[in-house]
Amino acid sequence: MPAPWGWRCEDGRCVKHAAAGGSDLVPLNQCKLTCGGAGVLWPLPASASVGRRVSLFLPQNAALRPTCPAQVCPLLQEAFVLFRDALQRYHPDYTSGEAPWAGPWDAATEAHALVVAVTVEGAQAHLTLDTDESYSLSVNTSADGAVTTATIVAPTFFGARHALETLAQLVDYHETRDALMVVQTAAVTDAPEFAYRGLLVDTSRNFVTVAALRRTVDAMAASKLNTLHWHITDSHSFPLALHSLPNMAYYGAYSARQVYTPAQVRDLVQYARVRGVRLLPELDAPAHVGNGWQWAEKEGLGRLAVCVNQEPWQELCVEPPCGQLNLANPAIYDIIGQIYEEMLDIFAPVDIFHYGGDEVNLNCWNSTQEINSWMTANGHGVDEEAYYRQWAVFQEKALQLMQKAAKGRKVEGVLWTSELTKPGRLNLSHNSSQYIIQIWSTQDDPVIGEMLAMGHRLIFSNHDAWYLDCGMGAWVGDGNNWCSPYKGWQTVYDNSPHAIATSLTGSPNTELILGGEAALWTEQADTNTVDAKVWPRAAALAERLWSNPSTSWQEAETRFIHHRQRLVQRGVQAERIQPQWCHQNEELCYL
Amino acid sequence: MGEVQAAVVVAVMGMVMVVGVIGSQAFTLPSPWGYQCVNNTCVKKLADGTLPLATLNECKLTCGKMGVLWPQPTSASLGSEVAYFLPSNVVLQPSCRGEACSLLQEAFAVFRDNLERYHPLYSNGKAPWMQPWQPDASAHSLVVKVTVTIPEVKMSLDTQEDYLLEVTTAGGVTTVTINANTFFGARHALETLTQLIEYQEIHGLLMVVTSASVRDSPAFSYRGLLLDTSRNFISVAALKRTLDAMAACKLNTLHWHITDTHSFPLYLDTLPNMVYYGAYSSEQVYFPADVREILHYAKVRGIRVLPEFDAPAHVGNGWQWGEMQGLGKLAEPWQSYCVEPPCGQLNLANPNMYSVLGQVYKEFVDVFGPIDLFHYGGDEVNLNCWNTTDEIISWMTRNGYGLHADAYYQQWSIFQEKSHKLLTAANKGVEVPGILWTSHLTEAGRVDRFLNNSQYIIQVWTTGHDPLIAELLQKGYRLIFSNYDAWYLDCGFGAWVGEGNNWCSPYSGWQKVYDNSPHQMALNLTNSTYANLILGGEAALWTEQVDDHNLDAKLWPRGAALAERLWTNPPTGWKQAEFRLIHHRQRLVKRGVLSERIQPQWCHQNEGLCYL
Repeated sequence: MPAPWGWRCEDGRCVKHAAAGGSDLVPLNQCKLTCGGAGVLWPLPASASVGRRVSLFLPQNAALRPTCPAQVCPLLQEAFVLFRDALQRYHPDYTSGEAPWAGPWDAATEAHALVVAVTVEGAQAHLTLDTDESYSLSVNTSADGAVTTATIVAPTFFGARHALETLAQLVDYHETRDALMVVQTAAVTDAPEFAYRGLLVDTSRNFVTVAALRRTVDAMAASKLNTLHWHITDSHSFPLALHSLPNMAYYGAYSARQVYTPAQVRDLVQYARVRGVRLLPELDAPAHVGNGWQWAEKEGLGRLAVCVNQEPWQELCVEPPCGQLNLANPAIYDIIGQIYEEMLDIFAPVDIFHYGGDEVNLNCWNSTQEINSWMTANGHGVDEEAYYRQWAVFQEKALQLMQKAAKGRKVEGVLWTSELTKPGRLNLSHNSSQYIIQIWSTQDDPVIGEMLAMGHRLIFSNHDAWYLDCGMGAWVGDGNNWCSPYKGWQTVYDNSPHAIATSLTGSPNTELILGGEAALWTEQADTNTVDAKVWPRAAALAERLWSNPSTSWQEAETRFIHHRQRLVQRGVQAERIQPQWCHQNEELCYL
Repeated sequence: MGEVQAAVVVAVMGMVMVVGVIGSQAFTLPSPWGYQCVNNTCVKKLADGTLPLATLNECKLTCGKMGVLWPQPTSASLGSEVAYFLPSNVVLQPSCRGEACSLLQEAFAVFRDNLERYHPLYSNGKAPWMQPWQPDASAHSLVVKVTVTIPEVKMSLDTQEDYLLEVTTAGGVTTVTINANTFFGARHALETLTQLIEYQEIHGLLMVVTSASVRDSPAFSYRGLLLDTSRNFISVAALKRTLDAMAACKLNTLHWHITDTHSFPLYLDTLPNMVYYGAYSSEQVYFPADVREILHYAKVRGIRVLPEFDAPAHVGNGWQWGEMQGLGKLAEPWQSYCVEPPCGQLNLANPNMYSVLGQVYKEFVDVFGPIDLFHYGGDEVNLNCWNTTDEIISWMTRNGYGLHADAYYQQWSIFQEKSHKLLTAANKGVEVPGILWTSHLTEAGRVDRFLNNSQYIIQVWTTGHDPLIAELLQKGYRLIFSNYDAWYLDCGFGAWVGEGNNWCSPYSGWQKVYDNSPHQMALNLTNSTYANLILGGEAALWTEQVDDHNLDAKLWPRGAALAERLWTNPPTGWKQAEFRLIHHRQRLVKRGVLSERIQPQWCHQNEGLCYL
C-alpha cells in the first residue's frame, strides 16, 4: 500500500497532508532531509546550508576519491567502508551488512554516482586534546543531474571522518523508490566547540561485552563524541586480564567468560580510532578497588587491599562491596606500576589516563590495624588531615609510576573531584598543570569556581544532568536510587559548562573547560540494557559539546527524534523519546 | 549413579590451583571461588579444598526453602542434591486427551528449548554441549510424566491453573510426576520444573534437583500485562518475546491496547481503510494471520490475549476516511482538548459511527475469538471536545438532551450500552464480561447509574488509596488493579511534551511493584479484603516512550515482581524475594529478553550483602 499521506516543508517544518493535497508532497524522509536550515544534521554544524532538492542513487554507486598522507590513508579507507555500511543500514530490511535493494529504478537512479572526494591535509593518526577535528564539506550535483560530488577537506583524518558522518546525514532512504537520496547541494563548515566529548562506561559493577562496547562506539561515532572513558575496574570486579598479573582477573572477574583479554582491548582501541574515538582507560585508586586484589596474601605479598567485602559496608565505603588499597604495604606500588605498564601497552597510544581518585573512606584506613600502626609508627598521626596527606602522597607516587611507565611520553592525568580536590587540599600534591579535574558534583558546586580560579582544566560530568544511571529503583533498600530523578534528554542537552562557569565565576572560562562527559555507572545496567540508558541521551550531550548552541532543546527536538531513528538503524537499542506520531507531525507534541 | 553428592563437586573445586591462561580469544580458567549454603544463604568462599563448595548455580538451586523458584509456589520442599544430565535425555510421558494433548506436546518443546537456553553459548535453538561428560551424567535421564484430566483447553476466569509436581531419583533416572486438571496447570508445572534445573558450568551439562515436592495454585485468576501498540508500534517478534517472559512468570493475560488516537495498526478485512489511514506505515501493521499466530503462541504458554478497543475517546488516526467516503466525520480531531496529543473522540452525532463500530467489533471477535473477556476502554472522555464541536452541540440540542456535563455523561453511557449490544451481537449473542477503565462514568455516586456490576469488570488505574476503590467494591463490582502509583511501568522518564519528567514520575522500582497488594489496598479502604471481587491485577506499559528497542527493560523484571504478587500473594515484602528475583532476571535474559539489570552481579554472587 502506498501511504495516503505526504509531507510538505512549510515554514521550516514538515507538515503532514492527505496525499490528495498536492503533487508537491514528498515522503517524510525527503522532507526531513531538506526542510529547515540544517535538515536533520546532528550535531548541528557550525554553519550549514542545505539545498531543497535530492538525487536518487544506489549505495554501490558511492565511490571514494581520496587525497591523503600515507599514514592516514588506510584509516580513511576504513572510515569510508563504515560510511557505505551506514548507507546500507538506511534500508529497512538491512541485516548483517547487506540490504535487499530491489527497485525497480529508472535509468537516472541506477546511473547516478555519488563521488566523495576527500582531502586529508595532515598525517596525525591519533587523537590528542590538540587535534583539529574541523572539516568543510560541499555537495554539488552536475548540471545534467548525473553525478553528485561531495568534497571534503579536513586538516586531519578525524575531521574527515566527521565529515563522512555529516554526509551520511544528508542521505536517507526513499521508501517509495527503494533507493537512497542525497541532497543535491549543501555547504557545511564545521568544528567542535569542545576538544573533550566523552562518555563513561563502567564495566566493573556489571560486565559489558566487547560487542556492546563496540555498539556504543558506533553510536558515539554517529554523534561525533570522541572519548570513551572506560571505568574498567572497581571494588566489585576486575575484568581486565593482564598478561603480567593474571591473578587480578582470576580472582576478580565475575566469571571466566566475563573478562577482557589484552587482544580484545587492542582491537577495541583500533575499532574506536577508525571511528574518531579515543579510549581513555581508568584505573580507579586508592579507593574503588577490592575484588581481584585478594591473591597477593597467599603469595607472600601481604594485603594489597583492605576492607575488601568487609561488613558493615556503610561504615567503610559508599556502596557495597568495600575495598581500598593498603597504604602501609609498599608492594601496592610495584603492582600499580605493573598494571600501568600493561595498560599503557594494550591501550597504546594513551594520551590521557584517568587515575580515579574518588570517594576514599578514611574510616576504612583508620580502622585497619595495619594502616593505623603504620601511620603512627611513621609519625604521620591518625587525624583526618594526616590521611589526606598520605592519600596525596599515594597520588604523587601513582603519577610517578605512570610517568615511568610512559617512558618519557606526556600522558595527561585526570582525577575526579574528591576530598583531595577541595580548596586548601588541592595543592597538597598537585599543581594545576598536572591534572585535569573531572567534576561530578552538582552544577552549583562552588568548588567549580574555585578550581577555575586556580587555573585547573576541567571536564564536566555534574551528576544532576550528566549521570545516566539516575532515576531507577534503588539497588540497596527501597525507593529510588541516590541521584534520582531521571535526567531526560532535555536536561542533558541544556547543561552548558560555559553557562555553569559563568554563573559561578562571571566568565565562561573557555580556555580551561576542555569539555564534558556523561557517565553510565553500571550498578543497574549491563550488556542487555546499556543502549537505552545511554542513547539517545548521549547524543543530546554530543550536540551540547560539539555545537554548544545558544538555543535550548526545543529548537533541537525535531532533529533529535530523527537522529534517534538513525541510532536504531546503526544497531543501537536506543530509548524511544516520543510516539512516532510526533516524528510524523513535527512540533505538535508541545506543552 | 544414583545421586550426585556434593562431594563430587568438592573434589573438582579443590583441584583448582592453576592460574588461567590468557588466550587471544578467551580467558579460560576454573573459578577460584565456590559457594556454601549457610542458613539458607549461598556464601561465596575461596576454594582452597578444605570446604565442600558448590558452584553458584548449584547452591542457588538447592539452598533456601524455595530454591530459586519464581513465582514462589503455594508449598514446596526441595532436596539438597542434584543429578547431572544432558538435555537430549529428557522425555515426556503424557497422559491426556483432546486438544490438551497437542498443546502439551508444544509446551514440552518450549520446555526443552528453555533447557537448551541455560547453556551460556545458546544461539538459535541450539547449544554446543561439549564432552567430556562423566559416564553417569551422560546416561542419566529425566522422565517427565504429565497427567492432564480435562481435555478442553479454554481460558476463562474460572480456569483451574493448579498443579502438583513430584521429583524423585532412583538409579540413573530422575522422574518428574505432574498432575493437573487443565493443560494450563500442567504447563505452569513445566515452568516450575525448568526452575529446578540449571547449567553446571564446570562439567558443561545440566543439573536437576533430585527430589522435590511442589503443590501450587495462583492467588488471583487474572494476572495481566498491558501493552499499548498505538503510541508506538511493537513488532510481532517483540510481542512473542513478551509472551515468553510472561510464561516464565506464570502471568496469564496479555491485555492488548491495540489502538488509540495515535495510530491504528490492526488490519481489518472489511475495513482496510482503518489501517491504511491509521498505521504509521505499511510495515507497521498487524494482519489477521499475525494476530492468530500470536493467539496460539500465547495459548501454548498459558496466556489469554485480551483485546481492547478503546472508545469513545482515544480514537483518531485511522478514522479520517469516513468523511471522504460520505460517512461524515466518524471522529472529531481536535487540537487542544484532550489529555495528550493527538486528540480524537468518536462523533456521537453520526449514526454511521455505530455501524462502523459494530463492524470493528465483528472483526475483533472473528480475529481474537473465542473471547472470554473484552475491554471497551472507556477512559478519559473529554466533554469539551464534544461540546466545542458544532455538529455534536446541534445534535445534543436538537434532541433535547441539553449541553451540561451530565447530559454528555448520559450520552456517553448510552454509547457504552450500544457498544455492549454491538459486541454481544458480534459475538453471536453470547455475552462476555466487559472491562472498563475507571473514568468519569465510574466516579463516586455515578457508577451504578450507568454500569451494571454483572456486565462490567472495572479496571482501577487511579492511585492505590483512591476512595473510589472502596465504593466500587461496596457496590459489588469486580475489580482488576492497575493503580498507576505502582503498576504503571512507563513512569519516571523524561517528559515527551515539555521538559522535566513524565506525568506519573517517579519510576516505580520492582520493590514497589512487588509490595503493591490489592487485598491490602482493599483492606485499608474498607476493612475487608474483598477476595471474591478482586480478580487480580495488571501492570501497564503505555508506549509513548517505548518501542521494540526498549520494551524489554521497561517490562522486565518488574513484570516478574508483579507476577509473584498475583500468583503467590505473599504476606512478606520484597526483601524476602530479592535473591530469587535477581536469579530469575538472569533466566529472563536467557529466554532472550533484554531485561533491566537490578543490581551489580556482585550482589548475585554475594547474597544478602547489598542491603541498606
